[in-house]
Amino acid sequence: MNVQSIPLYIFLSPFISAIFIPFFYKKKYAAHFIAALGLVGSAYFSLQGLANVQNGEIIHHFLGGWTPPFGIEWRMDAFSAVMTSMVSILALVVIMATRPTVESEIHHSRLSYYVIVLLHVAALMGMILTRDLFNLFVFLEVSSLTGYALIATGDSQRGNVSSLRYLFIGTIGASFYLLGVGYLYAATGTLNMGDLAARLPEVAASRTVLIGIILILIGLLIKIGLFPFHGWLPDAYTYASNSASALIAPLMTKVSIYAFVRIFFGVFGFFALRELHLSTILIALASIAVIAGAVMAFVQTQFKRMLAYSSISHIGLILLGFALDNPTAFMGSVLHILNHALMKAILFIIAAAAFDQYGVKDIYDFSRFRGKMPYTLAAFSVAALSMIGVPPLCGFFSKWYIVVGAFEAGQFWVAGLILFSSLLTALYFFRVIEQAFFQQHSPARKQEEAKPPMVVSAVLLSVTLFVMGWFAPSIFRWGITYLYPIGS
Amino acid sequence: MVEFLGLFNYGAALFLILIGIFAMIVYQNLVRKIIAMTLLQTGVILFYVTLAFKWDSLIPILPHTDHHMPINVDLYANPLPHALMLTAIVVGVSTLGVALVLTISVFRQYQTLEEDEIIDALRLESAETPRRRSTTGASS
Repeated sequence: MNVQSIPLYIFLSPFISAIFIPFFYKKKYAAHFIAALGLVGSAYFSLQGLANVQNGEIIHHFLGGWTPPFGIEWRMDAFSAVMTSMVSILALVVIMATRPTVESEIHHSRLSYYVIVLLHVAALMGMILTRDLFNLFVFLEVSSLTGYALIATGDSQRGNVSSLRYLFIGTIGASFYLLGVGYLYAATGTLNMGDLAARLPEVAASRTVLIGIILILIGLLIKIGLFPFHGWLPDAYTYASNSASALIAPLMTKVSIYAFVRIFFGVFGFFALRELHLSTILIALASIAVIAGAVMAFVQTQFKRMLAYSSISHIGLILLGFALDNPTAFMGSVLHILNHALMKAILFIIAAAAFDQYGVKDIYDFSRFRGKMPYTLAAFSVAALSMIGVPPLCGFFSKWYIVVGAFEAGQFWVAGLILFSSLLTALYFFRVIEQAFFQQHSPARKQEEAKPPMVVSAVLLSVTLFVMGWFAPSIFRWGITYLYPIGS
Repeated sequence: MVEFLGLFNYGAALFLILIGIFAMIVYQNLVRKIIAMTLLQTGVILFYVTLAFKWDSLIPILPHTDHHMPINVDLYANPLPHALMLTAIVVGVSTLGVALVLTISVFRQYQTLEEDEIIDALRLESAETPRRRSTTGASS
């Protein structure tokens, strides 16, 4: 296999599978099977790529053979390999897990559902791999468009309204991003990230560049869903069909954060972080997000809505780590991207299982599960404890490194804030745990476990949380060497 | 005068963008919001096309014969922003399509295009479902 083409294969395997699905419209399970096949291919090539770049090598791929300043460059380094592996493997697990809920929720458009899922994953792969600012915009929009479609799936009509609102906000974000790229292009005459990073210092002081950076910042923060720009997120996660939210929630905002890091660390570098006091602004916004998200999560009664606000809180935490601007916090945040994606996948799969089996949406109805779904609830407890940050689980390590990074940066109150947010996380998750384990509801003791695919994948993922916790220190050490210096 | 006309185009682009954002925020009607969204996107496209423009320049197509002659770049408009904007227009059209489809399905459900009425209907819906405790900010 040609190593140079691995980035292309990672993108093409879900993309081509998406094209092939409509040909098999007569077979009942063909769509699901082909989707799984495409994601297996993507995961295989991602792991191949990870094996090839694990010692700091970089795979370049020039689309059409045009070299960087003129053509579009796709590049795979340690960070992008980790991200593509995570996205493809998690998407595969979620697809396998949600097969029963897709059948019960999506009646007449199951085929197009899988096509959209594959296009969504392919666009996320493109966002991760590309090194061209305009190419990134195109993939951002493709992933958002498929995201709007996924949110509107399902029978709930509210999904349409929240999808439409997300579309309005998301389009403003994308237009801001595009306008910012236009300003940078006007100042430097290039769109390639590496080239831009090389040319930016000459013109760094100009107002054009400054406005461009601010516009890109606002656009990306809207897509990420950091606190003051988070308006679309809770509704989108809550009213999407359970299958779709299990896919969107772990992946979409994480990949946007990756794009943010790529641009603001890889291209603008320390210029943006120090000269524009971006670090201070981001720390302030992210700190508010961490606390506000947790407090809002605490007052929700719907399980999925609580998870959505918890996502806002953890997105804040991840950006806080990046904004602290030192290797330890940076790697802590990278680890937290991975861990949080894993945990959110488990929790949303469990939300899907709870609704599928008992029609439960509300936290206070979780008491019905007592003694009925032991494996699902065990997986839930592991994920919840990991969200809180209990030591043997991986959630502890990523928070630990971010806190250590905060101490290294001398921001002691940030460290205190993160610990306080863990306390709030414990509060809102223990509300659910209390309902599920300690409330006497019905005497019925018959076990009615959720459908096998969901239980198996939830349990599998929660075992992965232990494994990630075990390997977190070594991933951390590896990442400090090969992943932190992402400057292009 | 020439300088002023050059800036005029940027001003127009910025004006379109600001009008678009303003109308998206102010108007309650979903179709008006969609029109405003298109204005916003058109403003960005105008901005890019203006970037490519040079006074007294030709379309960027080289004559077939003189490939070995040095090319005077100032004679031709910059082709790259145009190529980019083709893609951006396609993205904008697909966004418009998705927005219209969603609006149609929202209209079928609630029989109205006014956002405040839809929000009222949503409040009513969530009030009908029994809850043990009141939710805060559930339907906003």
